[in-house]
Amino acid sequence: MTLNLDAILLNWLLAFPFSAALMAALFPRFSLRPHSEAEAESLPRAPFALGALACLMGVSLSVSLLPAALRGTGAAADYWWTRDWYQLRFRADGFSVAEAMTLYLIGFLANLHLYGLPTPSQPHWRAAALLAATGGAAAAVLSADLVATVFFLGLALLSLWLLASLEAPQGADRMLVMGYGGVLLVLGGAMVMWRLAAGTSTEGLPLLLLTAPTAAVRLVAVLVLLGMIPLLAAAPAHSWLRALLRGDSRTALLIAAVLAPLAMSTALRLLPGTLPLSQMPGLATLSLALGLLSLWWAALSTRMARSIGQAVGWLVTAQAGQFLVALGVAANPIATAAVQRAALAVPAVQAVTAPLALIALWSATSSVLSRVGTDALAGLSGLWRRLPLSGLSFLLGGLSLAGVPPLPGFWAQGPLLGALLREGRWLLGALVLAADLLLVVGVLGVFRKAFLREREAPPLIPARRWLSPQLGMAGAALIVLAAMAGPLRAWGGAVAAHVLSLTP
Amino acid sequence: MSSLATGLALGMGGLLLVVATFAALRPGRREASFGWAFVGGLAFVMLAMAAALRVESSGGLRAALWQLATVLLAGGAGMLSLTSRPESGPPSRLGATGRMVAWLALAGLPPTIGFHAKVFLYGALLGAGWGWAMALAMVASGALLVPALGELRAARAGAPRGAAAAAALLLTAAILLLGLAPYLTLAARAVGGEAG
Repeated sequence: MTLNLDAILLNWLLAFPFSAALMAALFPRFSLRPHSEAEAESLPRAPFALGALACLMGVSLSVSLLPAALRGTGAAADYWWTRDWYQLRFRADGFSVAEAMTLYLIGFLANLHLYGLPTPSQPHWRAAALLAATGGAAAAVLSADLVATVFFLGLALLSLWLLASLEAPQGADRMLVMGYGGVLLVLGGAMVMWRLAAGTSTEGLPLLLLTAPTAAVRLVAVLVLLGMIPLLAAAPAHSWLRALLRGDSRTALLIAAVLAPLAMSTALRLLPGTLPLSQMPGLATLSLALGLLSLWWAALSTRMARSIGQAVGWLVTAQAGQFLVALGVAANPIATAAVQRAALAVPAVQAVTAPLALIALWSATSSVLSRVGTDALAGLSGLWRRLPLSGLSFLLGGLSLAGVPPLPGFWAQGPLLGALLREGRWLLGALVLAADLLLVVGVLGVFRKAFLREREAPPLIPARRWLSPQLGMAGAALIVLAAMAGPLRAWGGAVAAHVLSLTP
Repeated sequence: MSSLATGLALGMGGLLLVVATFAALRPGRREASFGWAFVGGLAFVMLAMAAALRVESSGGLRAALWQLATVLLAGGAGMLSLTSRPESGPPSRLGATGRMVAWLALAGLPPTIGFHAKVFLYGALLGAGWGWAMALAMVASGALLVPALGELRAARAGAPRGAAAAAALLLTAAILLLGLAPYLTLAARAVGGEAG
């Protein structure tokens, strides 16, 4: 199946402001709002229709790729942008198809809550530029075009610098210099790949690199991974967020949540098949150590969270930890094929299940915030009777992320744990299982305090109409996905098998 | 003869790049830093030419042309702002934008023409088998941000007037439009429905 991705890319770029609007709606207190609701009311409606159309086209295109995604065979995509400009073509794999579908579904949801275009006021304009650049980076990652990815990462960095300069010029400058160092390292990796492709190629990148010398492949991987570190560190490290958001620094978590999937996508695209994981020097140990640290830190912090939003933020971090643990297990040179397959299936399944669970959690947080006026656990109690849908949505999303069966998140964690225990890696299995149990305790603790505790319940503010269907949709999607355990496992298995089959 | 020319271009380009980068990093007059960055840009052109002489198919000629265009456009936009007198009252938007865009282009940051020039240059140097020269060029590009940020924060931008303002506007727009060109053509072709 050949598909021109220009329409998809254009769609995605058009849809991005609307996705930004959705984020503003979901995070009324800690999102970079492109504009206020009152401003949105005064804006013309025509651009909204365009964005909605763009998203609908994107969803249609993505759905048309579904057969290829389910077979795990991937779809050949002709990126004329790359071919004409840098004389390179890459091939989209099944994972990109899943990414495209997830992103477009989120974009489609965004257009249910159309707000409008950014106002030209400086901070908002700069924030919108940042979001647009991040969207461009997402599109470029989807196109598997590393040079375009570097272009948009650089643009996002520059927009972030402009935004940060409003509040903390010195910190912003440090961030730009550090981040640009990362951009150059990633670009260095991309240039080595370009050279390996001999300037022109119509082969898929992973296949292309199979014929490359091991040293060159290692160089590419090390450059790109090293380059991503300062880029990831750049975004949340600065004080401007706190000032811009009047003391609330949780947007750092939001940006990290946006950047982490981008980095994960890049890593996934580069690591499996592109090079045998075991060739990466120290990758298995580093990944495992960082993963366990993130997982345990997040599990303990969820337990001690003081607000629902904080708990959700830590659950996002736990997801990153689970991903790194899985990568570390897959990269271990002594891991058996069964364990490798189970470990590589984790990120594939996570890519489908985690966004849905996070939408459920963020929707529940947003609902509590808008109905009660706060999400601080100290001020909440007895919400189950009055906001049952929010409670259910929180519970489903949180327990899914913690890997509780039969929720969809279990199909990412369960098979890996099973494989580890079968292989006799008891300690690692026990550590992951204990962290998962701690996450369950954390989620149930937050749920009990906010929804079940019997105290004087806070008064409710009149509801916004779209919140109930959104909560219902998010919860229903998780239940439907839980019922599709078979296809989900098959999808994860197919991706893992495809990745392993590419290993030279 | 050819290898002599290649060696000369490579040696002089590399040496000039190192000297110009160190000179640009030295604290001093803002015009001097920008001037040295401009010289560094010309050194990049020499490196690209050396790559073209070494391996014709390396894309060195294309890189040299793009880098030359970058240097000329950025040099023009930057100097028009630097040599104009600052106004009292709010800073000149045109002057500040022109100066910032010029520095970004010289450092090779998107969304300027400088990014593509650098991509072509790195590719050409790698194609010529000079990975070390690519690393040197990358370090020099990154280092240019330091004087750029220092200059942008410390000094008030000049305010070009009349023909100078029109020229600064034109040059700044050209730097950005050429930087966005691949992505603008993407949109145009998608709208036009041209097959890939």
